Amino acid sequence: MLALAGLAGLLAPVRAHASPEPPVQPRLYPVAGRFSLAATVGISVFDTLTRTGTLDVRAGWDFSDWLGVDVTVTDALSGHTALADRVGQHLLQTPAEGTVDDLSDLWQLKAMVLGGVRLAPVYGKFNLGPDLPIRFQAYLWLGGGAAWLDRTSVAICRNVTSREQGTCGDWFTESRVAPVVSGALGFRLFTGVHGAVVLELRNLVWKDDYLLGVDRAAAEAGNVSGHRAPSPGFTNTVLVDLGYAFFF
Amino acid sequence: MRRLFPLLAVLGALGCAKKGPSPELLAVARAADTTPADALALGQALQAAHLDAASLGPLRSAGGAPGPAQAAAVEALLAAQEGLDEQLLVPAFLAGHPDAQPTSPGRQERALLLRGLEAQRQGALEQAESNLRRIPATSPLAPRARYALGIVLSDPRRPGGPRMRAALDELQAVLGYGGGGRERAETRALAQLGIARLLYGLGQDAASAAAYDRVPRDARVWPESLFERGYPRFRAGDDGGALGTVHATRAPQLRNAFLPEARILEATVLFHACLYPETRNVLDGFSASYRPLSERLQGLVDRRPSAAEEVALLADPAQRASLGEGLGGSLVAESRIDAGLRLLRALEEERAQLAVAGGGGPALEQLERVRAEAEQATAQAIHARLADVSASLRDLLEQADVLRFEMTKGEKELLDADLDQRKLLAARPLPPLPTGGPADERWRVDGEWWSDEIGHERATLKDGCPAQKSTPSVR
Amino acid sequence: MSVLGALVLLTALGAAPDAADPLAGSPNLQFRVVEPKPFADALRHELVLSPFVPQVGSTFTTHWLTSLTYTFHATEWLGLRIQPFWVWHAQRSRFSSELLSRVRQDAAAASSVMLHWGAVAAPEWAPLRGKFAAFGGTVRYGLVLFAGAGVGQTEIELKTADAVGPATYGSTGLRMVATGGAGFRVQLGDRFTVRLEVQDLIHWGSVSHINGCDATDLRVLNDQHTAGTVTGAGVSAQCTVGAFQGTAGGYDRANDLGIAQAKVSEGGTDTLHVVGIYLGFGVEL
Repeated sequence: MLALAGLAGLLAPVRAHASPEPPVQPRLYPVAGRFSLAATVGISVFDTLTRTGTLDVRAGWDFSDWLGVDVTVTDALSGHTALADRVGQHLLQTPAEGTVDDLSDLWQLKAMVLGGVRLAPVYGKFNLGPDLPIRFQAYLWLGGGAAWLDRTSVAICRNVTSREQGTCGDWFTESRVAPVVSGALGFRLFTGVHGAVVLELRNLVWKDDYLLGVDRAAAEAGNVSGHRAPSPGFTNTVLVDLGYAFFF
Repeated sequence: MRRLFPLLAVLGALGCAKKGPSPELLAVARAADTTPADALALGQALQAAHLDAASLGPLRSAGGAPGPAQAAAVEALLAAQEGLDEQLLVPAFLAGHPDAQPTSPGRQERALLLRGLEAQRQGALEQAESNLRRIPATSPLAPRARYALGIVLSDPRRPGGPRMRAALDELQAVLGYGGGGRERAETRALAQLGIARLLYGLGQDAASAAAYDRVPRDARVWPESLFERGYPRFRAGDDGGALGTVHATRAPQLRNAFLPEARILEATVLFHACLYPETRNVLDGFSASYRPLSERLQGLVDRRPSAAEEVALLADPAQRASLGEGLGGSLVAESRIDAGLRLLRALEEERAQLAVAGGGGPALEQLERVRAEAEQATAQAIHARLADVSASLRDLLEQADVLRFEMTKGEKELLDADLDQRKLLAARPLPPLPTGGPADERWRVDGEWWSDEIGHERATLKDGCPAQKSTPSVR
Repeated sequence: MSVLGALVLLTALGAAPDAADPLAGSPNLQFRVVEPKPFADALRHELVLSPFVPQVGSTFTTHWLTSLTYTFHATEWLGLRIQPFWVWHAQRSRFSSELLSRVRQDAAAASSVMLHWGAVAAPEWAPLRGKFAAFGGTVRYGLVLFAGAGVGQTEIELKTADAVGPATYGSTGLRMVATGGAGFRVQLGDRFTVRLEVQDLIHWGSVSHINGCDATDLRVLNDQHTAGTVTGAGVSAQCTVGAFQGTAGGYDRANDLGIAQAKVSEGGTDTLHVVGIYLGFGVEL
């Protein structure tokens, strides 16, 4: 056996290796060709003037183990931070003289619809214990949609209730629907063939919009003047989402 | 020769010319080959036109006739052999013409190597040893020669008996040759596998297992080493290690490796632990897969198809895949068969070029003769391998039947002793799995195979035997 | 196709498909992979350079820094890291500038202190190891957690950047810096590593001295400036009078005295977080 096998092996031609096999076969948790439904809750991080909490429902389709699409419907609860309240309070405690420019990044998310592409080139595992491997997919998500936004100013008050205490009975508010672009880095930690925990860091970007040169006295009398900022920039909202996905 | 010199010069310059028959190629196709000198000139002209396969015919004609053209013809023939990596016709020619010698030292060494290998293949071990020993240790062919010499020295048919220690020394020496690209890496891997096998033959199980572990994972023979390392482990009493390593051959990444013996070793380890249901499951799977294959192969071998049919069996991807169980891919990976199929493809391409150029002529006639010989030689190699596999499968199927019989005896003994093995096994705990050290990663085996993990499997298994049983013989 | 080939194909159609693993699910045996780490870490030294670390989530300040981390891996899962860092860009954040220019409000002094340079040390724990398949290959990684402390040199902005000249800064002294973070460490071969970590550098305190001068020193110096010339007489030894003398881009540094006095007089304390994303490239020795 040794001689024959050895001779047979000796003159093995140096051929180029065949195209490499996938390193993982078969995947214990394949997602190709499957429909998924997920629900996540999210909270904003790196808050400055606003904070946001979200509840997402997502429907997705994975064309392959690394490419899929998602549609997300989001409901959000948002409001001002304590810092925003303090800024408004301190401003109202000063005499209403001259003009004031409103601050940026005050639009708050109320609802959103997103669609996008999910790229998941990474499939891995780690051990929680010697016999408890957790498998996961890491993905990049890119897409866009429409966001329903509200804005409450901290610089334009239409009815000052107390100058000493700096309280306002009617801050200037606005609403709009704006296009939103979103990117996310996320993980699906599989709990089984039909489910996975979803952990995601998501960024939402929409164009900002606010007033400049508002006459304070006129505004406090109910007449808000001023002009739109010509280059308002963009608002970034970063959310950490946690949820669960079901695969069918 | 002198009148063809300008032709050669032009052909050399036109070596990289655009496709399509050049006037020079036209001339080559129609050049006469009535004398050895003409044959040599024709062969050299074909080589200059990068028609190496077609050049084999006239160069063999010139090299087989003693005279002034012989040495140059053999020199050119060996150049063509090296370029094509041809392993069937040229070695056979050299073996049949022991006086045909090339001119350069490098080609002389190559001739020695090819003669040595051919002699070994034909069982002329003394002559093989003599040829292989004449290749100096500093030659670029030394690793291959020393590997072949190690195989020859360990061959039990060797006159005076095998010399295992000397064989080991030769194979160890091969490992010392570094560099050389993929070809030399492959030779080192083969030598490492040979060392492991020799150590197993010498009864040094621990050293053998360690030697198997050192076969590189990217080597062509790594799947064989993966399964074979189960033997020394099993013989050393490491059932878990043996079962773990042989179980890994089920990985999908290794589906193109033909390893039926792995299933028998797996079943043997399980039988040794008296795990009869598991043994039966493995044997049933083995029989379901390999009995139909064995019957198919038996039919093929007995029928003795024509050379063309035999070659088409591997050359046609659909027929090759239909052999099943990774056999087709395994056969095509064998060096002589692969060399034969490549030569036939090269001859086909060159025939097309020559046919367009000349539509006939001595070159084309020579090529057709070479093609027929190559097809015959390739078919013989395929047939011999199919016969080996068929015989091997029959043996393994018989071993499976023996194991089934032994199992029946074992189960009867349990019944006679009024022992319920299920209760016996349920009462016995599973021995703890190895945990390794702090620098080891531990992963559960759950049906998902990661390429880097293959070969690092360990198993733990219950002992289902009521009393100590003797180890059944293993190959 | 030849007759032979057709026969082989026809007979192969009846062949059994590849069998699933017949040993899966057996209660009498179990398999485990025990795989040596291709590249061990124990008793090795690692140097990681994070050339550009942006601060994220800051309110009043923006830091960009460079960090060099030396880690001694005592075991496969425990190590000790020493990490000097240098903040080469520290300034008022865009939000803080906007707050000042639009509503004429400024952050409290204690909330505006910035790190300049420092060093921290921390034990590092790698409780989880794993691997992932990507782009046809397998990559090993580990989760790392660390927490420790060190010191950092701090400063505060005095004059904002405007048409008169660039921003000016005053040193607010050495402070203790606590740190904590988590991240992933990927090994690329025996030698090279890549780390992606989130690390928080935490410092706290009040602004009681600027350039070594306390409130009394600054009042004295400010009075001298008002009177005409800053002589430096009558201040404590650690007060660096020279920092308030001379010009910076045409701006008289003595004008900072009033600002510094106001900031020191504010009082109040705050705990400040400099959270950065550290992408580092390392070599293991």
